[in-house]
Amino acid sequence: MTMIVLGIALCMELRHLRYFAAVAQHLSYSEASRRLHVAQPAISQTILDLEEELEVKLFLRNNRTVQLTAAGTTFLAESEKILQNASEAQRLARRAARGEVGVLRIGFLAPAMVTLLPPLVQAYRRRYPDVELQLSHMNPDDQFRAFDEGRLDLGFSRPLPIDRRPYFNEEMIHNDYLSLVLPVGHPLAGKKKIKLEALAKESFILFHRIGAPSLFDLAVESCRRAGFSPKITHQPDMMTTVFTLVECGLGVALVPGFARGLAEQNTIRRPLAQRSSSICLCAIWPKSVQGPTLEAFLEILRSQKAALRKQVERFTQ
Amino acid sequence: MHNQTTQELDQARKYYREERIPKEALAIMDADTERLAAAKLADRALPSGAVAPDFILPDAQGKPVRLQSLLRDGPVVVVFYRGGWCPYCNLHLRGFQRRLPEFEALGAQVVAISPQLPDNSLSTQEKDELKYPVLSDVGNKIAHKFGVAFRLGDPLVKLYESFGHPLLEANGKEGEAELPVPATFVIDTDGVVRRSHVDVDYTRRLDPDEVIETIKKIRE
Repeated sequence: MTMIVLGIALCMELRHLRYFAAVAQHLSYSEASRRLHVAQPAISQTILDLEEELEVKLFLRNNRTVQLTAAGTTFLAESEKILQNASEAQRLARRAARGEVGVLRIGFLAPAMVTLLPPLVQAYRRRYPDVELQLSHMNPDDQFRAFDEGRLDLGFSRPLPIDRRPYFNEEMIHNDYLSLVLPVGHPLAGKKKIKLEALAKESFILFHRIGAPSLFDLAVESCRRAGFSPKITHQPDMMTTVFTLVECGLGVALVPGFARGLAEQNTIRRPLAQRSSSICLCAIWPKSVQGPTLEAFLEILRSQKAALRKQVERFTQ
Repeated sequence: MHNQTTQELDQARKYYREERIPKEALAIMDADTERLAAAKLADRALPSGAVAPDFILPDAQGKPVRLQSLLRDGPVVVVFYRGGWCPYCNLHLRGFQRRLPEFEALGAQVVAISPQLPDNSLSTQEKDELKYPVLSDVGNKIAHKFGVAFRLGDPLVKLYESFGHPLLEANGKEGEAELPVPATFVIDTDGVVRRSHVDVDYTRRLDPDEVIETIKKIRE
């Protein structure tokens, strides 16, 4: 093996990053050696070379333990990105050689799209069998992070915040309004529609604000309009957990009318007597992203929009 | 020279049948053609008046090409061919290249589709210096939608292997024993097939000059 001891820039190879990441992930040279099938001294030397080149210490070592330094922690996060990109490049090249075209990466709010997404994806796969679809559940904040890192082509999310509008296209899919989730046996469960005022003393379970700010803000705003500030006791980061906590009797929840929990969850769903402001479901995609695979998906979406809206109406009324 | 491609195909047929291909091999090839004719394979193809299915396929560089996007600029001629190893296909594709200026003047585009892997269609393109997109339909998924894919008889697969163009290598696992019947579809800007030419005898093709006549009629 050639040892690079010159200490000049641009000697770093993927091998350095692989060895470093393996040690950093397991905080152990012997474990890294086992996983990489590379002798331990070779790994140690490679990391020393790397530290020399970077002119920083990546690890704090003593006889017993290995710890990442602050520099090492930062370097690990970036190294993982590079390694991931490298393996993605390899995967895409192989796909291209097999004659598959492009990838369409879609992020979606799973609870709002349980029944909306399958017909879209089925139609797309039938028509364009060679395009690979990557579908991931992502909250609105995750979607923007993925867009920023170039990991996403299309998102199904809430309307764009004002600072994003210049850079994104947005297309409304359907309007939605808040509805109430109550535990079985709640005193108000017998009513067809419920006045929010009647819940002023309740504990509220709201989907966490960071994940979906517009939903959280709309819930609070609706309560304030009804004359009270909600006592928020839980902010789960998953919509199904919101339903679970209501089912446990820990409080009531305000969720988008079309958002669904799991079929097994036993809660009561009621519309509000006075309709909240609307919270739309939108398709969003960066203005910089274009291409036939996305364009074809948007066309299918447009052709199915009327049917999707009917489905939403049937469920929410 | 009008219908030059047809004349070249006729000459090639004469040459291959009379001088190049051994009698036993010809018998195998003709038997397969007759089998396709008996199965009325051509009747399964998309007829004139049908709406063409949209597709997204990679060109020789792996870049996705979509039929609907092409149709925004004018009529599209979709040519299904068997592969760069087929001399009749090369003549046909070269015939379209020769008439490309006329197609361009009429605002029409040509795309050729074969089940070859992208890297193999690149060599077809380089070899023939084709200036229109040569697309790769691995596994004949789009050929099936146009109703032109068929399974080769085993004797024919073996024969092609003995000729030195194994389909497995050209087309990958998915398309190992399947080929499109050579076919030409002229599609107007509404996505409707205006001319559909399918002949189970792979030596007979729709001449590019005939295609030009059809496009002129569409344009009127």
